[in-house]
Amino acid sequence: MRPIELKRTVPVHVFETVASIAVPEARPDLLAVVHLVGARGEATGRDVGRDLLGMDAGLGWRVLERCQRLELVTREQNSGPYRLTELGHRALADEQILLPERSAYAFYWIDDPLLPEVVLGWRAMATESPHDRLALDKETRDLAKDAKAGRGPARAACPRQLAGLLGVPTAALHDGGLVRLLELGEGFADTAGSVELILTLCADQEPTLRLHGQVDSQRIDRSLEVGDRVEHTHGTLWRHLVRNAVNVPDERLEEWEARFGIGTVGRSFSELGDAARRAFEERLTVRNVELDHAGRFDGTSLTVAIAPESDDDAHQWADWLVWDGLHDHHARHELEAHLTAVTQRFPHHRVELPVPGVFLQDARRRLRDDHRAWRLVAPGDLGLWEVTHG
Amino acid sequence: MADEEWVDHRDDALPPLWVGTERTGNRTPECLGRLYQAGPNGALRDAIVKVIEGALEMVCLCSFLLSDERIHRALLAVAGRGVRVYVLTASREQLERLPKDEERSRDRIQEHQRRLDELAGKVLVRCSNQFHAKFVLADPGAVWASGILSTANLNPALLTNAELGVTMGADDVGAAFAFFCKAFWSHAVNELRQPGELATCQGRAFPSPAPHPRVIWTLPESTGLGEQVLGMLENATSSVTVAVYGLDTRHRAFRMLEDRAKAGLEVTVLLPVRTKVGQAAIELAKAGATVVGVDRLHAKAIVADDQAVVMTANLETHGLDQGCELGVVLNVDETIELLDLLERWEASATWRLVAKATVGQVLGPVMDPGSGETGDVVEEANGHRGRLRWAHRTKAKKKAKR
Repeated sequence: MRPIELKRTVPVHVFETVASIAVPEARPDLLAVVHLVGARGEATGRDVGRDLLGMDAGLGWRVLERCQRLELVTREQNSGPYRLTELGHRALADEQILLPERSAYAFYWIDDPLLPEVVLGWRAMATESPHDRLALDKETRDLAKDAKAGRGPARAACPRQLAGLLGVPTAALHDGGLVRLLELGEGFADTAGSVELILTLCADQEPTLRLHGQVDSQRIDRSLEVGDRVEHTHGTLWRHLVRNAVNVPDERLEEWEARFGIGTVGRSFSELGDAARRAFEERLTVRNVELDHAGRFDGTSLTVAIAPESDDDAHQWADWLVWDGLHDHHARHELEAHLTAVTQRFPHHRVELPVPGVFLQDARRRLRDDHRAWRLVAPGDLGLWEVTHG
Repeated sequence: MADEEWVDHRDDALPPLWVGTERTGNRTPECLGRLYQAGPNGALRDAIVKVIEGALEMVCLCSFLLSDERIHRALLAVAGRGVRVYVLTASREQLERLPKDEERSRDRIQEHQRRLDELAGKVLVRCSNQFHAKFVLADPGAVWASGILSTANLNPALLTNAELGVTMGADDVGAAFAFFCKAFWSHAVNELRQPGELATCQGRAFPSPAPHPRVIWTLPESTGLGEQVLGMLENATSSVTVAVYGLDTRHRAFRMLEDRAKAGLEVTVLLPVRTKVGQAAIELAKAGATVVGVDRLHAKAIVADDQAVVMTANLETHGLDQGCELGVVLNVDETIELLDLLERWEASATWRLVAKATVGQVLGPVMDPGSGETGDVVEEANGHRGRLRWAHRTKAKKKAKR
């Protein structure tokens, strides 16, 4: 069975604010302390002073206090040796230290049932140069003035979805870079385009999720964990979509499955177009795909195997296929082989096609309206019909 | 004028020339029993239309070109009442290769293609580079089967050219039908599915037609017609008369004809007055054959003693050794009819080839067989004077004498 692909467009939100965040930096001095504490399990100022600095304990304690302010180490009741915090362990693993900085940032984020509270990326809006800071302050003042006068966007509190990420190291989706939001003030909230979310379900495989698009000139194309937010398997989703597309009850789906096997839809001959009749496949249009926990997806099309609903449909279909397959002139034995091949396409039905001579008679009747009839009539008239060799 | 000196050129030798006969080229009657000749009264065309209109089940038609209005309408009419019509004709590639000096002009080819497009979908048309035969068969296999072989394409040639037609009985039609089927399945390269839409068709294995005593053919796998022609020329003991449109001096049939003339056999050759056969005409005349030029001759027929054949093949490689051509061996009555007809054509021929003559023996219009250049030999005072190349020479001599 073919993979099922569902898509939806997810709006990207942007929040521009002055914030404190921690971003990774390679700091070998601090990493050495983290390594020492990690290796020993716990460390004192004396350990650091002796092993790293070759100096007295006082300097070692000051270094550890610096690490504590960065939340890399902690100790109980402000006394005794220091141990690694969760951030410290992470720094050890990443070989990076998250160092705080304060500036004006634009944070890009999405909030989707399958990807709740996900930061796509961020961008510093100004550098630390005095000139830029002055410009930033002026810009902020102007915005505030405009807002007060009703001429621009109003200042907004930090969105709930971003506030929920405070203190937690978060990987930005566009480049996987870590950021830890430390403090977010009021700012300006807006939307900044959209990205496409694609959920793919294959038979006997875990669902996959992919996000792609462009945010603030950064291209995003990432495969993501689905987790347990998609409850459907390929089979259950297929049924859900087919039921939606052809508007039949579950009993009918079960009946088709029992008669034709998994993944096949019963169809009346008259409902089908030529392409579907030839391929035994049909593209079903599914509107309003709503999944319980995974949310609403765009309408989609689903290519399904099809089989005749009844023996009568099968007979009409087989007759149609015989004529449709007459691409060249046929001798009797060639038509016999063609009839056999057509019959074999209906393993679940009783299809008994007439003998070649009946088709030849029929062809003579059809000749005025159907050019394909020549492909039997000409062999019948001009002696090829009975030729068995070649 | 008194001092003018006249030079007598009457004994000057002339090169081989077509010499005008002052005959009318009258070709009536058009129907001679089972044999027809093309003509303005349309007897041959009427006979073809009658075959088509008489069909109850099937018509098989083969013609290199097909654009005659009445035949076209007859085909559409019988197709409209349920008769299956099959047509074999020349491929577009073959038509595009035709030399422009042929009697088949561009207009006729365009008309042919327009007619085919009108037939598309109503009749089954197949094309090939090989098809050159011209015949119509109605209801082959039935006791009432009828047919006619024509040396003329089924176009205005039926009214304007010197052409022959011979009717076929049910047995002949059966043999010609076997030829048609073989050509249709094994040698067609295109099938006209829709107007302008030529589908490629693969040659199918199909049994070769069994030899027939009266209906003979050339097919890529059979040279029965060529063998019949060569046999007739070789075995003739008293006379041979040939009417043919194309004659290749390199072909065995030509050489045999030339040899028989040299050997003293009475050989008469009727040719169209066209430069392509000029050399053949000269050589045959030199060999002793009587060679006459018949306006718009396109017929192909041979009478050797009491045996006769009317056929669609020229005496060329593409005709006797290659291609798809059909011929009918005539019975005694038909042979007499054909001889009578060819004698009429000879008697009314507008040109005769004079291989060796002096200026004094020729008077009137002349034509150079090689170049087609025409002129006159006229009598002045007490002599003859020509106005072709040789005439210029005589003028020059005259001035020199002064």
